[in-house]
Amino acid sequence: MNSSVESKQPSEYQDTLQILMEIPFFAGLPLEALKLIAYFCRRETFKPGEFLFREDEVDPSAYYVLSGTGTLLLEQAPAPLQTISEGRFIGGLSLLGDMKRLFSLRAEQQLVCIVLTREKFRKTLDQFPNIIHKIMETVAAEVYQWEKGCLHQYDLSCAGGKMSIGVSLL
Amino acid sequence: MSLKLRPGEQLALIGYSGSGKSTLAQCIAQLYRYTDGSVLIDGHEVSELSKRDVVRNLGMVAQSPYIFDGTIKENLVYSCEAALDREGDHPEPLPTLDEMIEILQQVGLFVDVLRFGLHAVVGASEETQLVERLIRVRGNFQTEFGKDLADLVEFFNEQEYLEFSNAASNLIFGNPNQAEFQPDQLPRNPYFLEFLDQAQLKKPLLNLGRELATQTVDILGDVPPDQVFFEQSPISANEFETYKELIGRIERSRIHQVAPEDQDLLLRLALRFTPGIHKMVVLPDVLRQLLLDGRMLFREKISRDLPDAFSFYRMSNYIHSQTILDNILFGKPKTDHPKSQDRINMSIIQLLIEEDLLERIVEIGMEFRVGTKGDRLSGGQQQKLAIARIFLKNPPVLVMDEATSALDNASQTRIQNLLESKWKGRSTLIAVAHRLDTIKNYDQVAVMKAGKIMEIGSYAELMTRKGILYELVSGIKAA
Repeated sequence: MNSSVESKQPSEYQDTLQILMEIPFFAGLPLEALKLIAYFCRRETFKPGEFLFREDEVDPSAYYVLSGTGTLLLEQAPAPLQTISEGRFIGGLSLLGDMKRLFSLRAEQQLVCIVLTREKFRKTLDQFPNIIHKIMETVAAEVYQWEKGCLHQYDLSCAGGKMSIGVSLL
Repeated sequence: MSLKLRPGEQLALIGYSGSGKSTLAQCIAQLYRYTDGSVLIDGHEVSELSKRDVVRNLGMVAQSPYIFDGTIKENLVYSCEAALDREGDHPEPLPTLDEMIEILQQVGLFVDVLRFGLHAVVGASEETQLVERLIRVRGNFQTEFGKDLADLVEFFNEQEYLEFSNAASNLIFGNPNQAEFQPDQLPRNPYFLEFLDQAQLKKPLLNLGRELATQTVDILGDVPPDQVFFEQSPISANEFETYKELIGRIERSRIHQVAPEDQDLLLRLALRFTPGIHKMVVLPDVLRQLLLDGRMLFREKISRDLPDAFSFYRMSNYIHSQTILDNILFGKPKTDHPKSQDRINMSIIQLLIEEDLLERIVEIGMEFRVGTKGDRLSGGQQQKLAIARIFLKNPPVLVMDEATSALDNASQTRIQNLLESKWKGRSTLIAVAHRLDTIKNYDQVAVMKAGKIMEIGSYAELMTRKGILYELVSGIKAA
């Protein structure tokens, strides 16, 4: 990198690059690939009440929340499931394959996000095919950790509880 | 085979490919000469009809419609012109603008043509009245929607640096009227270069150009010349190798030591730098202020030396080198997201309706040149245009050969509904259908196989009979 650049205010691209390095989904990828991903990322602002994505919608994008908060919800039962806030990364799986959203995400306060689309992510994969191995390892580890963390919360005395286990056996 | 249609009845021809549906349709339309048998229209043998009779009484929409290199309007009235008696003392009149617009709406081509109109350029010599009204729309756009669309559009503002316009546009803040001041000529224009020196802009711009080139080459590295990689880059795909080599050449040079032709390349890059799009570099505050000051200096200087060289952006000035849409926006869109574009377009359409200009813009859109064989139109647009042309001609006999195969589902349904509501009982229709879900309401359905009609009757009859149609329909359902 050019030494004269480092002393100046970082560009949006450089800022994004720093952030990507700290997101588990991307961390550990070679710098060349991360640079291209950072370059492909765009920033989007969502007004309060605006949806980033909705249930049943195909939305091939991943989001990293830079500022603001949002609510994850099921539209049939509009009680909020989770509050999504600064530093949260959502939608990594959508970069890998087609799936309709199971939840809706609505901005509560003005929400500023870094957005990466699957089209751009695929272009990066075409350039650096080897990074898929690293990403698969990360996804496998996340799924494993997820179920491990949840295991003691399942109610294994009922049929429903027994049915819900096993995502790590996928 | 034998079949008979009463005037105004509708017949669907279905069957496997190669079964002779299109051939039959083309025989009826006199496009194929038949040696045996008889095709009678109103008692007249088709093979014996004169060209003139066929043209007046029959309309055919083929699978790949004939679109010629002309305007939308010329393509639209082509069949009417051929069918009408335009010679003599009392020439039959061509369709009116209202009739054409109605048909465009019916076939679902209206919004497309409106968009062509919005992207048209209105020359300086034409239509002062239109220009005045468009300037009024521009004003209303900012008052009525300015606040609402502020996150989508950056309006031209003389006092501010525009993040979504490039450095050259920020500096000049107007449109060139002379070839030597066109954007691609500026980096070599002696007058402009002298100005950059005077305004102390040249060196910081060269440094900016170098930083842009360095960063972009560093990020994109060895990517192939695929457009996707260059959408957010100031360097285009076909220039990329040039700039890669340039960076190698000047890596260790100080900026004033860089050869003139390389300086030219750097300046070129800096002048197209658009902070809102090219995110790999920050525009230094000092340079931003210099460019903003330069805007005033340049205007003063050129107004003194070459007063006609530019038309400067003012709320009251129409920019003749730009499209109608650009003139109404009087700014730059901040995003190319389709949802955002739709929001902007809807607002503009509303204002055009208020100003009673919508039809005028569609009329301008009808002057859009469709290119050789219509290659500037999509396949769907070509088919819609061909259907519109025949509907406008309004012939007693309509022959449609898979005429909606390139349309999306909604458009197919729209055309089908139109055939049922507007044309049933009015024109006799022979339609080669490629989809079985469109044929339910035809008066007759003929199922063809190997050049023969295997069964014919209404959809309901054939379904009850449980013959070939039944098999085809249920086969598709089963699959």
